[in-house]
Amino acid sequence: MKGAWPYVGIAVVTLAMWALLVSVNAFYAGVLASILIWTVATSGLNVIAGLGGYPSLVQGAFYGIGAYASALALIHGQNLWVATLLAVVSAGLAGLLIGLVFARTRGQYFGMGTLFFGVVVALVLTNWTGLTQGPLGLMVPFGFATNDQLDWIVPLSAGASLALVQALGTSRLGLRLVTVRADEDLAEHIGVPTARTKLAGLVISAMIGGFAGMLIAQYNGTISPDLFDQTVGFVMFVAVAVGGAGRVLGPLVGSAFIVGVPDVLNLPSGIGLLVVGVIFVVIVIVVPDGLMGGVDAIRRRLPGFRA
Amino acid sequence: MTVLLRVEGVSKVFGGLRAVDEMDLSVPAGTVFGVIGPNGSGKTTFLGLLSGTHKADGGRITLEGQRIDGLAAHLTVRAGIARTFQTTRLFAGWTLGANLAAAARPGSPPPDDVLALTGLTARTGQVCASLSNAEQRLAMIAVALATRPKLLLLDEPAVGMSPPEAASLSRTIARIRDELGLSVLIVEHNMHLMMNLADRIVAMNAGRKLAEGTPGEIRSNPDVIASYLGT
Amino acid sequence: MLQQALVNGVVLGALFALLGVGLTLVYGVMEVPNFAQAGVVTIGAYIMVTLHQSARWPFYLAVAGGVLAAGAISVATERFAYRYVRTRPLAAPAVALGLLLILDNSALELWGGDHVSLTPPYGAGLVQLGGMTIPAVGVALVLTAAVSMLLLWLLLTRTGIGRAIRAVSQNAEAAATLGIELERQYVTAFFISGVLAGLAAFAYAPTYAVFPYMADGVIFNGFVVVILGGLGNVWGAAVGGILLGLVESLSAVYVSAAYQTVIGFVVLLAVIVLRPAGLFAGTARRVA
Repeated sequence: MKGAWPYVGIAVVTLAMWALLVSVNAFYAGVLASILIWTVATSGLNVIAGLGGYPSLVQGAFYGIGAYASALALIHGQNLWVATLLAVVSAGLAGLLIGLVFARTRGQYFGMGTLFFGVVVALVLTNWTGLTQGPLGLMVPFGFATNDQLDWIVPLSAGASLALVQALGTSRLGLRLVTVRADEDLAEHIGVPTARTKLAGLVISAMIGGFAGMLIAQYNGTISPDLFDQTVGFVMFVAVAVGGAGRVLGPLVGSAFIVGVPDVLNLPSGIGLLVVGVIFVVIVIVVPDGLMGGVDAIRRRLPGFRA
Repeated sequence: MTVLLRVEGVSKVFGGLRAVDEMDLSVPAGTVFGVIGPNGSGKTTFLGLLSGTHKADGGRITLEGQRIDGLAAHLTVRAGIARTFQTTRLFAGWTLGANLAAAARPGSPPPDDVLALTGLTARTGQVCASLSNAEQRLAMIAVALATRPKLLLLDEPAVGMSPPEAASLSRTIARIRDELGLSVLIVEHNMHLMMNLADRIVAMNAGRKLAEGTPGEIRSNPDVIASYLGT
Repeated sequence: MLQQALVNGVVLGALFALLGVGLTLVYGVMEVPNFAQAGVVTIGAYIMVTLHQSARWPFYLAVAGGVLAAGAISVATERFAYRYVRTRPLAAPAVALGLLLILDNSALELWGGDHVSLTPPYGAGLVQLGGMTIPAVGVALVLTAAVSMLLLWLLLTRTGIGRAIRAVSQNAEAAATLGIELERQYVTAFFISGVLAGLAAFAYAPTYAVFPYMADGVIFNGFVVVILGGLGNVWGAAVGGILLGLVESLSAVYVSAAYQTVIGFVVLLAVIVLRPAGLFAGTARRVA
């Protein structure tokens, strides 16, 4: 029974998010939908960066590849199923490429390498004007039947991505990723194929990121390269760290903070980003395991609580 | 006796230093083989070459006739060689049971057997960081056994152990040889333990094999004595 | 054409080297990827502009003020933030990004988003050299980088401060047992890195204008340089900087200006894959 509880929890959270999304006004619904789409993208990142402990800064690029691939498929007359498949597959292939190059590198080199790959993708999206119309961006044809469909597809996608990470975490691949995070050298010496494990983790991260890209393209109706540049990849990594790396609900909490706080406070962009910067630094310093880790630490201190 | 591990002309160069220089060795199945030598004689590097931690610059290593030199560490483990480390290395924040589970693969011995053999049955639910030094060193052996090796490499397993703890470790290693039929290659400074436990000993100096023989032969070998006296 | 590209490459490379050396020095002692250095460059540049144009300080005095302020801000990032994540490598990039947001957006709030310029006395001057015409600001950039590197070299090799920093960079624990006070070395490394960021601001603000995100792009090149040279390898970063500058400027002429930065990253990828310890692995301190 213990094994089922996390999924029940995720289902309850998902239902709550759906209820909230359809009951609040348009402004807050927009903020919440952005948070939920970011939750999908950062849940994907949570596989390689959270479970595997690898600082992948390229998630924004997978998100962008998914968005552009799905948009281009729709523009060329394909239906949404094909567009979604293309988004997931092309992002997965990009993940495979990066993984083949970087899966043997460690720690900071991996971070830098993935960051620069993100820069390259952003440059291509900006400069390959024949395909992407450059900085102007693309108008994305709407692939769903009605606008209302998005209201349940977005929270359902967020819930599904959280459940997927929960399932992965208890799978053999998940266990292997966690050994890599804990001590990569030791993992190799107990027989874990670390390079292949990281490659698999990165490809899964990329595919989920690509799916999130399809969602944001549908939700926004327009996409442009600045939505997916290297800063986005970096900020997604920070969202995972703020929420609590490797914790299933971490991406939701982290996205709520990173996307939601500046939007809801509705500060002018300078002050808003300044506040976000202060929040990152303070959270990362004060609660080492992220916000979800902080919740655990508080629960452990409550009298009568037994872990 | 069938040869389990065969090492032929294996070398490793770090910068300009020949840490291991043309080593030859044959380890029969079901024996405890000791590797001794002064500090810096290349023992740990040699062990690292066998475990895939380092890549040899020359020579060949075979396990049951299959070449394993050049294999990555995880493939070496799959081929049947597991190792422990000089400094304790475990997933320290996890329980012992979780450490064993991480090392398990199809055909691995049941965790209970490994725990019984190492005397850690009562510790399975305990976080490794909270175990005593001697228990952590035994836990490393248990984790290595959980990977279902044919050859177990132990790098200074008795470090920091009291004499009774070391004696108990010695009995455990003998049981691993006798009950599981494994070969065990040990690098160890505790000469008393080594002389009583090992079936054969190889003495190294400056990366080379200095002498090989039974504990009695090694003890009386003038070259070995000289190398320890630092001539 | 080729000559001009080479000259541009050296100018660009001198800038990359100035940034890269500061980054790698900090990486060497503390293992943090200090993206916030871009923010230090920006604020340093704004302080120079303000001191020179609003407070009417003489140009070089304003520059000196900006450089020292940059050093102080860099130290502040260590004291108030980085010191708490020293043992947590995964947290360091998040803190670095947070600090960069704070510094850039402080600049935006304090000075607004408009591009302003820092005009040195030699402003639009041109230097004739072997039949080529080089802008004086470019010459100043190269000279600044060369003199800074020379002084840094003397500091690191000829002084007790330098020896202590190098010792910590080799092995912090061992250095501590030798009685080297680690805290002071961290502060010193961040101060030097900040001063180099200030000098970079002085050297390139006249060519590129001053605005809140002026250094965010170029800091990536600084990191390419750090990896080219090998993490923590100061001389590797200096040489790597010039190399990257040349590669980018030549590829802008002969390949494509739009993908100039991509070429730099291709070089980086090649290094990460083929020589993960950097181009000058013999002296690098760490192998991935």
